[in-house]
Order: sequence, then structure tokens, then C-alpha cells
Amino acid sequence: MTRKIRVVHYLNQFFGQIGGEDKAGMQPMDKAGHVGPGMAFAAALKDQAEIVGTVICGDTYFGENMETATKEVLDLIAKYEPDLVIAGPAFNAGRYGTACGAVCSAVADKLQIPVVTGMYPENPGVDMFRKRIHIVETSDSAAGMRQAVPKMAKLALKLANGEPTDSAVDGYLTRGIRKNYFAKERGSARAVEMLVRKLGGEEFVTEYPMPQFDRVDPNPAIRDIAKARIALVTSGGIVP
Amino acid sequence: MDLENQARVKELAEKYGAENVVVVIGGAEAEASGLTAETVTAGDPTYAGPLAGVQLGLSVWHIVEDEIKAEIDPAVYEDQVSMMEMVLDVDAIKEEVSTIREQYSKY
Repeated sequence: MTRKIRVVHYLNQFFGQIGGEDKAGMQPMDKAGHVGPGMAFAAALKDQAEIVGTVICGDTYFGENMETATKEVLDLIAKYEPDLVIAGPAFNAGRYGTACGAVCSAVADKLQIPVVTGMYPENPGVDMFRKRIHIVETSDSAAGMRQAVPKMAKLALKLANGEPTDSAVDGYLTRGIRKNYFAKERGSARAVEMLVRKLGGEEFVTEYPMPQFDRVDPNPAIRDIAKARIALVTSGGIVP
Repeated sequence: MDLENQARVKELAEKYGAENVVVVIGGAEAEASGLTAETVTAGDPTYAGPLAGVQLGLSVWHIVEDEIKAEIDPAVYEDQVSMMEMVLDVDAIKEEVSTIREQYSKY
């Protein structure tokens, strides 16, 4: 029997079961074996892979000391001599997503091993790291853990075994990499066929998705600003 | 369900025995109530808290369910819950919590 794939799992303080926002300043630490969602991953990876260690870091600490934190986390991960690193999933948590992306990206660069994380498409970590790493699409909250884990585990095993992957099949966010292939029909014929289907109201799949711009219609003009009652709303905590 | 509450439920179940604990949820929304119900029966579905992988199988109900309502003094219920009952999607909550209970409650 071949040996099990060695996996290290990266988590933030919350999923690492250290605590909530009050513990977000904690420095990186590691624990042998799996912690929190690692239990679900251990079940999904079955006998093919084993989570040998978990590295936990506070979201605020990581965000405020990105360079040092990345190095510290990387050293803790390297200690376990992993074949694969899984981070998160981070869902729509911005700081956590950024940390997962930074850790995965550093591991891929320095340790040259496969990495997988999971995020909601609007997580800021997606735009920062999607080109460099595999990010499985998840729901926006931890309620989607049960759906996210099997997808991430499956992709992780594929990558670790050197099998080919496909964003449509494996559920990861496209990385903007073009692959050449020989198509049966040439481009003009495919385009006409697509147009005919579109005109006929049938389903078709584009070969080149257009970028989507998040356009928000402005509110109608205020007639008399002098009499307006103004409320300031922010979710960023930038107002004292 | 936050980490502290999960720890409290776990501790109470260990102290009094899981068969002697009933959890009554007051969540205002079906999905959140369902997640709470799942946490105290099948284990924390987000795997973040002390109940990750711990299947307590507790008896779990929502305050708007008829069986719980029948146990409470109508005057107190009227005073404390009826207002919320009018604005909540009671049917969806009942459906969600009872489905989880039937699936995972052991008591």
C-alpha cells in the first residue's frame, strides 16, 4: 500500500476553536492532527490522506503583519513536511480569505506542493489570489461547510495525485488560464450554432464569458439638500 | 451557535445527562433555528465549536411549536412571545426544527 498523503490544514482563531474576535490578535500556533473543520476533511479524505497538523492564526494578527505572519505560518507548516495544504474554507470572511490566499500562495511558491482553499466569490481574497491558487467556490456563510468540504477534499486529492482538473467539473473559481485544444468544428461554425440556439431560446454555453460589472443605479436627485436628513451607514467601522 | 453557548450546552448535557436536557430555541428565522437544532443534535455543522463531531441528540424544540406552547401559561406566552409569533414565519420554523428533531434527536 502506498503511503498516505500528508496534509496540513490552516485555520483562523474561530475555526481553530481558540475563540472569537477577542482572540483575533493571536500569533500563529500549530497542533498535531486535525482541529474543527479538519474533522470533516479527515472523513472526506478517507484513507488516502491524513491531516498531520493544523496551523492556526488570528485574523487580525495575520492582516496587520502579513509579511511576518506568512513566514511564521509557512515555517510551522513546513515542519510537518506536508504533501498538500488545505486552508479554510473562509466563506465570505474577508480577513480570513485573504490569509488563506496568502498562506496557500506562499506554500505553492516556497514548498512547491499543491494547495486548495475555499471562498465565496465576493470574498476579497478571491480577486487577490485566484490566478495563483485553486479556490473552491463556497456559500457565503459557515452553514455551507457540509457542501464545501467534500468539494475541496476531492479537488485536493486530484491535485496531490497529479490528475487533471477542470473548474467546471471540480467547482473551483476560474484562474484565467487558457488551454489550447483541438475542437471538432472551427470557431465560425461554433459561433453560428451558438447564435442559432440563442435565437431559438435554447440553452448555450459561451466559450468566452464577458466580465460582469456591478452597476448600481443612482437614486433620483434630492430636490432640496438643505432640508435633507442624512444618515451615514458603514459596515467598515471607519466612523469613530 | 457561538462557541460559548455550545460549550454551555455540552457542559449541561454532561452534568444532567443528555436524556434530561431539553433545548428550546428562540431563533427568529428558520435557517438559523435549523442550524441551532442541528448543532445540539447531530453536532456543529460548521465544525467551529466544541460540539463539532459531538452528537448529543438532545430533544430540541422551538418556542413557537404547539407542544411547547401548550406547556406555557397562556398569559405569559401572550405577554412574551405572541408579538413575535405574529411577525415570524412560524410554519417554516416549525418545519425546519421538526425535520431536524425527527432526524437526529435521540430523546
